[in-house]
Amino acid sequence: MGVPSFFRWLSRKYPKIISPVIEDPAQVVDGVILPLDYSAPNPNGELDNLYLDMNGIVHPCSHPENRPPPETEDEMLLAVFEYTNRVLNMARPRKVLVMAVDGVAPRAKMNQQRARRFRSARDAEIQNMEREREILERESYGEIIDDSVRNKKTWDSNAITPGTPFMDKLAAALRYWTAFKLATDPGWKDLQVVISDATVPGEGEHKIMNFIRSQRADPEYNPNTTHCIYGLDADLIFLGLATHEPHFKILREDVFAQSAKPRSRNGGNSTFAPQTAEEKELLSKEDSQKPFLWLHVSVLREYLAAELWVPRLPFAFDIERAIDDWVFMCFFCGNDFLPHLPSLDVRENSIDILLDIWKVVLPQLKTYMTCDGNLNLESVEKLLGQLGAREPDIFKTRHIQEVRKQEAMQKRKQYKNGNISKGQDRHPTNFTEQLQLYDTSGNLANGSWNLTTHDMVNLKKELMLANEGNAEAIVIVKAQSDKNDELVKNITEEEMNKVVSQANISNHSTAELLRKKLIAKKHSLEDDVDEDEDETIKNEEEGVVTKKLKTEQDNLNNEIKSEVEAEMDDENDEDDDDNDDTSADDKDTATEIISNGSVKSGVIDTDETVKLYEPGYIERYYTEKFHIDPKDINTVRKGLVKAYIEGVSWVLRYYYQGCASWTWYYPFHYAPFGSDFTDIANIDIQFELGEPFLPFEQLMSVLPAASGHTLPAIFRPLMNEPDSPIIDFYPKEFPIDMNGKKMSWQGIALLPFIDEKRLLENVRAQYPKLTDYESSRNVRNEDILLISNKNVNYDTFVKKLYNGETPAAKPFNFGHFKSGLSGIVFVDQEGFKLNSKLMCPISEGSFPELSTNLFLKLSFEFNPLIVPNKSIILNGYIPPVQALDSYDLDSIMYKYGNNNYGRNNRSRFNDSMKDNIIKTGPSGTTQYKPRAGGYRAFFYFSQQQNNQNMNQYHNQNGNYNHQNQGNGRFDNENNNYNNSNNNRGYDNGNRYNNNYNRNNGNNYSRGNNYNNNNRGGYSNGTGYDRQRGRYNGGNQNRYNQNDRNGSGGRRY
Amino acid sequence: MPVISRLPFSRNEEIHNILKPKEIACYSRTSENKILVGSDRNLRYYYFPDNQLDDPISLAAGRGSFQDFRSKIDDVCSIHGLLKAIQNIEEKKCSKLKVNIITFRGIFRKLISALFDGGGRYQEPLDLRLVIFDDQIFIKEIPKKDEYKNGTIDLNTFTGYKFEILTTLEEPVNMSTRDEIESRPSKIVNNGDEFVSVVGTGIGHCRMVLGAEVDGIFDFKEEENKIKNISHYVELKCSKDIRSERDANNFANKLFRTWLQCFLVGVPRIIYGFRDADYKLISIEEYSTDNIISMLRKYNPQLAENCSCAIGWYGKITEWLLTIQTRYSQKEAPESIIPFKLTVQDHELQLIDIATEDDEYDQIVNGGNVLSNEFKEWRRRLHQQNL
Repeated sequence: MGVPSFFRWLSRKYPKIISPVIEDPAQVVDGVILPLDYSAPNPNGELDNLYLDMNGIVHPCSHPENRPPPETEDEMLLAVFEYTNRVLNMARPRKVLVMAVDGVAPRAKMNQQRARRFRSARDAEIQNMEREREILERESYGEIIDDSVRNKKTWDSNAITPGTPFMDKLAAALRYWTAFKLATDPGWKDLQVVISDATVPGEGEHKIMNFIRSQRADPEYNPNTTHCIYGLDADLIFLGLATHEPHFKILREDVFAQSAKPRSRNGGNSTFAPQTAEEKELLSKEDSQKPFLWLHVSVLREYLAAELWVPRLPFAFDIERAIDDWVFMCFFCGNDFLPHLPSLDVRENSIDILLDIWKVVLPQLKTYMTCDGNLNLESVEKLLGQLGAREPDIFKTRHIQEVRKQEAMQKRKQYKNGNISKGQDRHPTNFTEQLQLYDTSGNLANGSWNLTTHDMVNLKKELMLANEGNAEAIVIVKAQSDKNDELVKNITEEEMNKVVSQANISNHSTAELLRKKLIAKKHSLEDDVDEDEDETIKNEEEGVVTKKLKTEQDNLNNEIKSEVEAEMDDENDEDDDDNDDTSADDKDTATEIISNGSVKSGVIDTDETVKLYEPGYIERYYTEKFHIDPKDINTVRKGLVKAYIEGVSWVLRYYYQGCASWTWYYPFHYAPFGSDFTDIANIDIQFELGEPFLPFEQLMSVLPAASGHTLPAIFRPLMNEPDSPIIDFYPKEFPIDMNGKKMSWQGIALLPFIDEKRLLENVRAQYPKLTDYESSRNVRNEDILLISNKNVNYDTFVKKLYNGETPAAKPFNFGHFKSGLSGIVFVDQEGFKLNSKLMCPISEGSFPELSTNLFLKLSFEFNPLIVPNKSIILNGYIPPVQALDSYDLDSIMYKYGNNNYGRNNRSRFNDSMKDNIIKTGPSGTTQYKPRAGGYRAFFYFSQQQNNQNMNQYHNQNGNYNHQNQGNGRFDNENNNYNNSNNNRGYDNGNRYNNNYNRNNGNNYSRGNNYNNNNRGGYSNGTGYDRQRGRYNGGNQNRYNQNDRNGSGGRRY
Repeated sequence: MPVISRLPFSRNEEIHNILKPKEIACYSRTSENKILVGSDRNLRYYYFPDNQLDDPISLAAGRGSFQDFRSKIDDVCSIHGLLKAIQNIEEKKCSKLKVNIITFRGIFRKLISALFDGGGRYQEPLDLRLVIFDDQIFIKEIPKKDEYKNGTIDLNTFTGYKFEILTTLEEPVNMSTRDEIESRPSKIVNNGDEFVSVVGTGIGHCRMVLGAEVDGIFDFKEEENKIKNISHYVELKCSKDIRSERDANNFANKLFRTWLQCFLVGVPRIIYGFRDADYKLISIEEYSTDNIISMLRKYNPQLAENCSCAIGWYGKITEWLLTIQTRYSQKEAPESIIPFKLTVQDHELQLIDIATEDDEYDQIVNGGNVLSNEFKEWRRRLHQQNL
């Protein structure tokens, strides 16, 4: 999902969910920077569990955006340590740390990973060619280029995939570093660290979800556990909501912070601007001071409680179920596994559109649309039906907005007399129309140049100048384009000659005639098709890519050719054993009909021909994007819809219950329309769990041939050799369909879908030839747990698992209450022994040898779930201090003035965000809010009445005062119930002394919880709200006026 | 009938040394009135999230299908189950439990609150049978007749059971399905299943075993350290909603009694459900037993005083009972059973002799009216063994 866009949208709509991270400044004594005291109270409030999606750390550390990357892999790992340390010091979890590295992903995700890696390989190739060109250029000036610089290749970030040697190193490094911290940092003594590295299957986030679910399954689980997840992905927001763990926040870098310094000249990625040590240090310091921020899911829940309130429902309003529905709708607008519907886009407030529809539809339903990750298809059909009705308008509006934007830009261009940006980059502000753009018929868009990737690199300078209107440059470029045209035409003709039979070639007017002949010559055609591919590959190697420039006649030829190919595919399909025992007829038929068209590479935009804003778009959509006949539209449509519904069900289950199938995937590049979802209520959705791939199998599924170096040598021929039985999975060139989008990374890479059976067969055949080391990377492992020797469980674990000569292999279950972690432990499978030493696996950073008596390493298994996960609040949950006041809630309910998505809000947003301090963690001692009719509540409300009466005679401050002053309607003076001690049975040692302020086993006092300084004054009670016919959730602030050590507050 | 001994009501706030209650055994009583010693299958888990109060549930619904098992029981106040559990412990240890008094917590609660009823109309009548046997005191209540007049259960009693069913689950919520949780409002209510915790406690020189029915576990059970389970128990109660000062005062009185009840056996948490005039559950409040005194002090100061008086009175009662026990133990052989009546009258507790000619005498001494024959046998055998 588009990371910054969704995040930006959400934080504009619900501003108070963001608050700045307060970092303690480092103390400097005698010029030495002291390490941070982890044990000291956290100015951001205390935290129990922290979850790290390690890929979100490894990626920016190994290939940073705005500074040069580390030279060696060891340096990268060192950067990872430092970064992780910083994150840990900000969050300071006291009980649990989970470090999850992406393991082998489910097939559904692999397709996206594959597309990304193929594109990044392509980009890297372009970059390398660019560098080579620059080397040549500089040498032509007489500059001597150092060999080390010349030979340096950009590090292939595709090494960050399970199974590569780098991931192996990373695993060892993480284990060492964790042990190091446990052994040396006193603040870590109670921390329990779970490491789930790349050999454990599952995506990082998915593994974290599994973990949280397993903890919730334990009856001893503390429902007021506070969680934080670090990560850059917007999906984490949904993950946080889907856990239904209300004390949840997300930690991320502040993408809104505008750095004061201009970017370095070369964008930091050039190899030719050697940075002085000073410059390097400056940049790294700058990076290390980059601010972070919290995204409070707890506050988001408050907003959603107001946003999702629907009056007059025929069933009980349940905020947890409503949130699940909202998450579902967000998934619908964009997720990693399915292309989103053409009418939905997370950037265009599609979520708001769906939400409006949902509010209208919900009263007509019997229950919510989702239940614990299962879809109610009837309801979904109603929702999408309404969406379908609005689609034509959505498309039209979008188009009008586009046109207006274009016109505005044109005007600006005219005024400014030039279309170059003002910054040092001097790039054209119009996206290059001159680059090759094809429509689906393969016709070059008007005025486009016919250029290969090579050309684009070689003529980069000329292209830029040409775009600026430089006449000479235009001539040069056009010459190249014309040259290419010629080449292509010649080759095309040759090809055509091979495809069509020798007789009657010149007369292409009778398609029938041709068809007959073609059918007769089908076998020779098969050969020819193969030959064509060979030719393509050969031509590529010579640096020219064959493109088929179509004339009308050629169009016909290609249609026939595709038909033939499709027929061939049909035959193959029938021959193959059908493994799928799911009733996937519709899907399969659709896949059979659809072809990839004839464009084999370059950037195209199918939306140009489809023209969504004009009537008849549905038919054009299917014919253009799927290359089918209009008569096949219904079959294809049905197949798409079925697969899409399966997809959405799969995604929902993925987040709420776990992976439903490791092998399921959506076999199309495009999504259907909302209006296509008819008669879906009876679709039978079944998933076969299957098994995750092994690391090398995943690598073979996602990596392009250019990244083959990260795989054992045995596999490389499979990706490169023309006679490889799976060579068609690794096209060197592939088309990218912009699909109406503007940014290059938004385009869809039209890669062929991998046939799992064929791939696995061929890959597994090579296993016997692997070396031992290589085989050792191709495994599936368990998670591990590391604790310090001061942990409360240390003695028990040692006694039960590590005593005596032969370790008892019996796994041992331990509960949540004692230490804040529950699960099953058994003896470490990687050879951990007490009374031994652990060395640092990396050569940088001068880390010491560690004694294995200072920490304990165990194999760790999550608790199994006895019943499916439920989207409920657990017993004993105590809400935090309410962060939103009546104004905030009203503005959601009545939608005042927050349609301001304009960019000029950014600076104001930043300032107001800085002052937003959210107090996290449970507030008070009871799970029940004050309601009329109760005993305590009786006194509470009458006291509040008294306060209100008194205040009439005092000067009143402004309306929307946050600072706990009693004020007429918007009274924010609130306190807790302060009587009930004891959160749960967590009170160690109940005694008959009247010991009031007892903390529930936390070593770090959460001051405001157990105060008995009740000064009365809750805010508007339920009764008040009921009269207004409003939701009953809001306005239950629990601020404690005497809160000074806030659990998350600033000290005033 | 001669009053053997009296204990006049007296309010004093003497501080007594109170032992921390520990669970020493437990048993479940099924709907068929079977006693399952050591079983906690009838122990339920509390689960009722705050947001369910937004849409109030009726506590009167389902009254028609109420299954009344209790009325089929001959003697609802029987202590036989308790004695079975005690016997079970003693058999394992091969020795008698070293306690002075064995009874139900409810009885003691009534004895103590008798002080505060003030005599006159509001005095809760008390009709107990006290038996001295084997150097120990056993106290049992005589059940009141005609609890269920018309066949359908009294609405207020029903709401109590309904509230319990509505807010508890058989398994902890983590292990229950959504269906189990959401189907509770329509579940059939019965009063058959009970879980009783056998708690050892003491005050001053007196050691007691109190049997107490427990409504549920608030969070989780301790598998290894069963003694600690008390700290997880919760007492569930229902009350009319509070709309005026008078309501508040009435409630405070009830709360006092509940406090007493929980204090005696160490139940740390009390949850009250409040219903409106239509018997809809509109509010729930949690109280910690420890903090009730301070809460009462704030809202009903006179009652707070009562709490400390109660403890003083508690001590006095036990002292008194101890003296009685020693007196008779010296006179008679341990295996004999000496029956008494214990009632409240004229601002004092009265211990009344039961003459041999009395109908009850035979039933108590030779029959199973108070002590079960099985238990008597057991103790006699134990004596034989130890001689």
